[in-house]
Amino acid sequence: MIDTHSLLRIQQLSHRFGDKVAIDHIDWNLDHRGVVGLVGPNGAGKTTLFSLIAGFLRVQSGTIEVLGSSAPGARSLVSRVAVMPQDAIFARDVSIFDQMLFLRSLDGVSGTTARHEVVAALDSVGLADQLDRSAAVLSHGMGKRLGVAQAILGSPELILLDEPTAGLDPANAMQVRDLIRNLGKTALVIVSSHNLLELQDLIDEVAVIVAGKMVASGPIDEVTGSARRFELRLGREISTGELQQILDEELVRTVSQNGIQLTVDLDASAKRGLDEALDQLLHRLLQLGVPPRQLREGASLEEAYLRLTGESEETAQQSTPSEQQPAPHDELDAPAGAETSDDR
Amino acid sequence: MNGGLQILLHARNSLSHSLRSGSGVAFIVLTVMVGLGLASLVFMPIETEMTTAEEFKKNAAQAVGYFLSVATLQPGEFNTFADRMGSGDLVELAMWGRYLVLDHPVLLSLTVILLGLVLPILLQLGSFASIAGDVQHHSIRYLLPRTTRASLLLGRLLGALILSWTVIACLQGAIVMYLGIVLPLDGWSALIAWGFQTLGALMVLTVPYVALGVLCSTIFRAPMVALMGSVGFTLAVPLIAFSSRQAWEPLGKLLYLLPWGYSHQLLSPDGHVVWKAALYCLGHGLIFTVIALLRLRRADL
Repeated sequence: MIDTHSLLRIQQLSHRFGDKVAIDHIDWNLDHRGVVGLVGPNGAGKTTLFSLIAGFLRVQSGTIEVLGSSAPGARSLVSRVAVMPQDAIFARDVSIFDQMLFLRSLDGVSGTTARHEVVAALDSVGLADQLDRSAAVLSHGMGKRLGVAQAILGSPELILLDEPTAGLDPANAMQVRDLIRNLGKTALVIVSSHNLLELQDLIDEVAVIVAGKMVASGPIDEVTGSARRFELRLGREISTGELQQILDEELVRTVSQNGIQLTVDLDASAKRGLDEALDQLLHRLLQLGVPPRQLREGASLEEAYLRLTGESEETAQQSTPSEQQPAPHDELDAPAGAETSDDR
Repeated sequence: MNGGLQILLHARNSLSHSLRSGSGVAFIVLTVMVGLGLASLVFMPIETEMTTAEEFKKNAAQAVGYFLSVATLQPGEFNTFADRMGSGDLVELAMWGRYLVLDHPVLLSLTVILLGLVLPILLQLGSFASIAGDVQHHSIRYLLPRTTRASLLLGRLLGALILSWTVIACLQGAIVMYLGIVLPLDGWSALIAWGFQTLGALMVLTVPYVALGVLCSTIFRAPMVALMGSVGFTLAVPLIAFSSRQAWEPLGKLLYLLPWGYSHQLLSPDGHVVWKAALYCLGHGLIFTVIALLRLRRADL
C-alpha cells in the first residue's frame, strides 16, 4: 500500500557494482520533515544510497519512492529534490554567481528574483563576498560551502547532503549546521557525516549502514538505546582502583580516563532513567573526593555507532595485551555486556 | 519548468561555456585554421598565377569529375568502366561536374567539397565533451536534480550545433568575402547565392556528425576517450568500407553507417536529390540522438 504522506520509502533496495554488493536489501521509511543522519564506515554504501535516491544511479533491485514518485530522477521531482554530492566539482572557468544563477534558472526562476535568491544562498554559507570568483580558485572548504548553497537554492522538499561539513573550519561548520537545522523545519534533510558528535546535536533520526546493510534506523534515542555518554573534567587524576570503584556502580557501563578527563557510558534504562545513573556516578565521585569541575553529554551516538558497526570489537581484537592495560589511557569495562570505546 | 525552455537554457549555457573552455576554443581555432588553409590551397594556383582561370577550371572539372565518380561508385553496380559509360551515368556526372565548376564559382565549390571531407573530423572537437566532461567531474550531479536527462542532452546537442553552425557560417562568410574582393572571377551575386546554398549543405551535414560526437560523449565517461571514439569511428567507416569491399562487395555498404555514402549529393544539381540527401542527414542525426538519449537515460551517473 502506498503511503501518500511518505517522503521517502525504500523497500528491499539492493545495488551491485560488478561483484561487489554496495547496498543489500535496505528498507527505510521517512515520513516527517526534519534532519536525519546517515552514518556508517567508509565504503558502507552511504554515497551509493544517496546516488540511488537522487536518481544518479539506476535502481537494480527493490523500490524507492521519493516524494510520492516511484522513479528517482523523474520529471515530477525536478527542483523538488536537492543534492550536495560528495565528490562533484563546479565548472572551473565560470564565476560561482553565474553557475548558481544558471541552476536557479533551471527551476524556472530568473531575473532579479533569482539574483536575490542566489546572493542570499551564498550569504547563508559565508560566500557572499566571493560572487565573481571562479570555482577554480575556491579552497576545499569554500567549495563545500558552495555545494551546500546550491542545494538550498529554491524550496526543495528533500535535501541530501553528503559530508556537508567535512573540511570546514569550526565557525563555518557551525554556520552550516545552523543552516541545516533551519532547513529541517521545512524539508526532509538527510545528512551523511562521520562527525558523530556533530550529528548527535543536529539530527532527529539516524540510520546506520554497515557493509550495505542498514543495521539500525529510527529516532536517535531509540538507536542509541539506553546508553548515554558523559565527559567529565576532574580536579585530579584518579587511580586504577578508584576507576574500578566507579565501574562497579550498577548503572555505569564503561569508563575510560585520559588525564583528568573521564568518559563514562551510563545505563539510562533504570526506573528513574538518566537521573538515577547520573546520581550514582556523581555520588561515587563525591565519595572519592573528586567532584567534577565540568560535566557535559558526550557522543552517545558514537558509542551506538561503534556498537552497531562492530568497530570497537575489531579494535579490541587488534590490540595487544599490553595495549589493553589501563594506563596511561585507562579504560575499564563492565564485566558483562559492555563494550570498549578506546578507538574514538 | 517547461522542457523546451530548459533545452534552450542548456544550449545557451553550453554555448557560452564552449567559448571559455579549452575544447571549445580548440574547435573554433582549428576549424577556422583548417578551413582557411584548405581555401588557401584551392586559391593558390590562381593567386600565384601558376595557371589561368580557364585552365584552372578545366583541371578542376577533371578533379571534380574524378571525385564524383569515386563518390558515386556503388558496389556491384558496374563490372567495367565501359559498362558505366554505356549506362549514361557518366553523362550525368559530367553535367554535375559542369554544375559545380562552370555554372557556379569554382573556387567556392572546390573549397566546400574539401570542407565536406574534413568537417566530419573537426566537428567531433566541438561535441565530444558535451556530456562526458560533466560526467567525468561529476558536475552533472549538480544539474540532474534540476533538469531531466533528455533536456540536458538535447540542450547540449543544440548548443554544439549552434556553435558549429556559427563557426562554419563565419568561415564561409570570410571565404566568400575574400573571393569577392581578391579573386573576383565571378560576380558578387553568384558568389553570395552559391555561398548560401553551400552553407546550407554544410550546415545539414553538420547535424549527423555533431550528433555522433554527442552520442560518443554519452557512451564514454572520459572526454578524451569519447573524442578518440568519435574521430576513430568517423575515419574508420570509409576506410573499412573502401578496403573491405574489395574482398566482399556488400561490405561497401558500411559507408552508409555515416553520411559518407551520400553527403556529396548535397551539392547535386537535382533539387530532389539534394532534399533527399538532406533528409538522410537529418535522419542519421535523429538516429544518433535517439541512441544517445536511450544511453543517457539508462546510464549510472
